[in-house]
Amino acid sequence: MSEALSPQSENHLLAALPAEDYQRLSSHLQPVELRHGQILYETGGAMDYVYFPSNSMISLVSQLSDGSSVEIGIVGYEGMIGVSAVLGVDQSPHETMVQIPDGGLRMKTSVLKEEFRRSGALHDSLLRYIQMLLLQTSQLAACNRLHTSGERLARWLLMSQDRCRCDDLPFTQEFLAMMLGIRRAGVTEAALILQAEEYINYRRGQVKILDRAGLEDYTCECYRIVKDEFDRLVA
Amino acid sequence: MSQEHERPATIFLVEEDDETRPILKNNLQGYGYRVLVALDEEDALERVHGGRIQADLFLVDTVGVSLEDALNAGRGIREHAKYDSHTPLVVMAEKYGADLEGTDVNVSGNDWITYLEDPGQLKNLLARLINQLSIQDASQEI
Repeated sequence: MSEALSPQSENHLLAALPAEDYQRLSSHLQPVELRHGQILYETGGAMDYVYFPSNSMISLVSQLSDGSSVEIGIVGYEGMIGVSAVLGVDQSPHETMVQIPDGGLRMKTSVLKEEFRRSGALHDSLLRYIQMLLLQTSQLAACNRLHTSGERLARWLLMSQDRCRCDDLPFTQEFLAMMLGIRRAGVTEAALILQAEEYINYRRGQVKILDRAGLEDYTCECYRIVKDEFDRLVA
Repeated sequence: MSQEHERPATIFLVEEDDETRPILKNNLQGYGYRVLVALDEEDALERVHGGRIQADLFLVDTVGVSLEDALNAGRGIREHAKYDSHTPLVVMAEKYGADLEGTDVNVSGNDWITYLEDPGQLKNLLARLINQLSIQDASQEI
């Protein structure tokens, strides 16, 4: 974990709560370590707890019957895992996997639902966050269909860096292929382009961001569209 | 690439994945190779039929088949192109464990399976194999 847990400063949804609301919820919040590769929800699995990440990054992954999978959403300090519970959903529609480990807080889903029904500050924050997540998911669908693997890799690295707030990203080629829904050879060739431009250094499962501005110039519009919506609605 | 080649070395690329094909071709050309591209095994066999193409190396990336089948497909294409097993054949693996990552395995003759990990791995392997070919050619001329 990055440091001693200070939930209100680390997770944006919690940080935005008025002191009174946070006080009411704080006794229900438990610190948890989110470990690399940890599955928080299986597809179709129960969502007993919801999670508020700190500097970790968690992927929402769609798995297909042929064994392939692709990432359909990313969650970090700006949001939470299990937000669909407030929409009345009690089974996770997709797999939820920790990609960048760090700490977070968890809370029983029933407590979150109860708080949501109060129609207080968290209710409004969650509605805005759901809108942001919807936009992110739809934009990623368009991106995965229309943009080059190099642009998508750049977009994905930027989104990851935003969430872990770090320059060194622990991503193997196999993992990147799975997340981006492309073949390993495609990841290699896309990474070569970004490396040749000196935007990143990629070696043995470690990606180091060298030139963030360069990556932003290189990537497709999807990164900026999602980021701007986040800034407008949530930040 | 070896400076001993008077012409750029030619790679015959069989890349079945539509997304990987253009970026791989572009990168190979960026290394200075001439690249001939086939969409799949059938297309490759048609293109090389009767020894119509000149190639220094065959590079194969197939989708949804075992490594053994991919190797056999590559060997068949090479043979159909009237090249023998001295001409390098490289097959790119897709599914493999961490223990194989970063390795290039010589399975027989000049047939290789590359288990990619780093961006520069394929580039280095191709350069090495083509350079060896140049040295062999030069020694045969002597």
